[in-house]
Amino acid sequence: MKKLLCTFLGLSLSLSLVFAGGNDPSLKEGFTQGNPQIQSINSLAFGPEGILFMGDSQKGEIIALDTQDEKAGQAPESISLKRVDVLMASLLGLQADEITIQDMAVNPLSQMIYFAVQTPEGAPVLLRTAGKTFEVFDLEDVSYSKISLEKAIAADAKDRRGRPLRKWAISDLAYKNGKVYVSGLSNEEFSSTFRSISFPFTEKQNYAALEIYHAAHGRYETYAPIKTFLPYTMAGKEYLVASYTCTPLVIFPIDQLKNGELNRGKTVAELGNRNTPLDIISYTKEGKEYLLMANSSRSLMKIDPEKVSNFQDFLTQPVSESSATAGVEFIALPYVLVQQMDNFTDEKVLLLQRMANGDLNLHTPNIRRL
Amino acid sequence: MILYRFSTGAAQPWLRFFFLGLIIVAWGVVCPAQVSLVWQKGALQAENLPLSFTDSLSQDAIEPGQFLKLFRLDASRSLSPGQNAIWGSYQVHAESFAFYPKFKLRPGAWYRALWIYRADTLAYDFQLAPEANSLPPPVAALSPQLDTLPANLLKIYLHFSQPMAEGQAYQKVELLDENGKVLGLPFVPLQPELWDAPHQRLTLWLDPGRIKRGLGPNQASGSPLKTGKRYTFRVRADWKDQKGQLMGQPYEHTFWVGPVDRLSPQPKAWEIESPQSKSQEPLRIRLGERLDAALLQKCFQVYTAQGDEVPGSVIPVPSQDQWAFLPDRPWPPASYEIRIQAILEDLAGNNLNRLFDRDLQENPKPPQNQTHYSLYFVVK
Repeated sequence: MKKLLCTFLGLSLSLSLVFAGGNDPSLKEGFTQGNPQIQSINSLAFGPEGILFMGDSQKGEIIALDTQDEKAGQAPESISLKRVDVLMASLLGLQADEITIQDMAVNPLSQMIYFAVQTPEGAPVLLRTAGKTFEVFDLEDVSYSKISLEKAIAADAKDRRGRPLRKWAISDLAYKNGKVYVSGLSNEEFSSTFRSISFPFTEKQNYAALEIYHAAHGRYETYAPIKTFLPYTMAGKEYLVASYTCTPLVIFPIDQLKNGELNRGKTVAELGNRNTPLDIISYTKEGKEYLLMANSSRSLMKIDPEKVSNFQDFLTQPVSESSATAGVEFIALPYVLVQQMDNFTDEKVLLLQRMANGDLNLHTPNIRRL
Repeated sequence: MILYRFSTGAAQPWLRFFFLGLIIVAWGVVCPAQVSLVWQKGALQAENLPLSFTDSLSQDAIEPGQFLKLFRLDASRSLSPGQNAIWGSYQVHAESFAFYPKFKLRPGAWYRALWIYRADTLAYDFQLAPEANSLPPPVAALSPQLDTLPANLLKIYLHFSQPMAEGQAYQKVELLDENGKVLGLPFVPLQPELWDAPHQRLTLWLDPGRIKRGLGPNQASGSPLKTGKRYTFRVRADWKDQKGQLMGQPYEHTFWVGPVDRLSPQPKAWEIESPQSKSQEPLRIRLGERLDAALLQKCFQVYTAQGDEVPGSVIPVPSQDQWAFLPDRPWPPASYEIRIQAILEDLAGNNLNRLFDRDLQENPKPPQNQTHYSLYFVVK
């Protein structure tokens, strides 16, 4: 069956390549060539066709970059790189403690790994793997398309000079089925800003600004910014699985989110005290899907999405033990201090992990071990 | 002028002696082939190259790191294993070959240049001059700078005298109890850190999961601040600005913790001090409580009855319990509207529409969904 599917996929790919020469249905059709004048890169996410989405909080823009990195087989089957911060910083004439790694994303077509890195002066740098080290992806003359979040928030309140009152720090970015999803934190008001933007970007956009409430033990209703999220299909329905800065894991059906209304998400778990969620991905092991979460001060958490979608009630039982967690159960995997995480191949996940000796290493554990 | 030549890339210890005490902006190193390396005007130059060499080069065909490499040296002036050469661009001139690092090198840091051509390797270590017009060490100040803060205080702003480096914030801020004990993780270590555009104001959140009633962190550890207790907020002295300069002095602010604030700001209860007609007196609103300093600066607008915005500027009030507005021109006698954006928050994150956390049993009133609230006053 698998073989049949591969043949079918191969055939469709060849056909699409044949037809690509004529009316190019590429998502990159409206891209322009030049310097996108990026001021910061806070978040990375890959779309199809080697398109890398980058969130620029300083300028309030989302940039879709054509990496021209669409060929499979460019990268090794597994990665094991030690002291990657030294390797990266030295490229920039800096020392390891002078750079900040803002985000990491794997190109699903080539398995090349991209990093958003910041210099002490705040200059953004895009790096990617090159053999056993890294190279700078020069952004001076590239093919790109971008959209301003300032436009996206045009409907919001403005200050007296007509500038939007909301300034975002983009906390996460994802692409799924023609939509770019963006979550943002404000450096002034405590609010949740979540938007979906159609891609390819057009002038006419539906920028839903959503305020999503969640409940604690059925008694308290609260409101907080989303730190990281994953658009995810459960039982044929599109959900957003979102982890909040105050740790609850909340799900909501994407099609039910409405602008200007009180949106309530379903709290399905609490992920523990003194912890910040970092990344959520999904993976398939022995035919079954799992969610995997990386956290600032907890080990990797493996969650069964079936239990999430079947979870009926808001949390009702108080949590009493220190750092206790509640709701949908999860399995703690023995990977601590994971800084960044992404899917690498069907068999492997990619972890950027601070090791016990203080080294920052990049490696690709097999999902059999997860 | 110091000359040396070696092929392993590592300086012999006795050679380092020559470097001690020297601050070198541009050292030339001459190899037997008369090639010299020099750092000047933001570029590493290999000079005195034979024309036959430079003529043979095509600008586009040069691979990064071919012929000329530049490395940052660590504190012991050596290279780390696997260290990459600095990324930049190359230019070929008549008798020289230049490398331009893409990012500004660090003043005061040591670098090693390598010229590699066939079997010849030429190394040249140099230190960039420390910046001449260095600013004084950065200084921090906390907002709200108040003696008493609510037990459910949500966020604080740290202001700096110059742009600070990103990525260190959560190792450099501490909250101490009255016995001087450093409290564990009172702030959410957010990535990205919440800086303003010039990198001079950092927003820190006290862990909202610990402040919100009913959430696991709140039930397990309670709110970071307890009513009636005294705390000290400290910024450590080893925080660097963007130029790598340490603060040198810690910053501390001690405050008492008052009761929790679980009420939204109520514009209807505010007292407006109307200015005199034809005067240029500030318009003052007494808020009856302390509101967020950053939002007070931008959430208010004054309009005439015709809907024109009154130009002027907001006067910062350190006590944060007043809003004061200085008009650009004297007030004509008329009726005015003050529009207050609903996102305006108090110190505990309650805004005009909703509470930070709402007890559904005690307070069944759902959040409002207004963009702004209006108040009116008359100048007579």
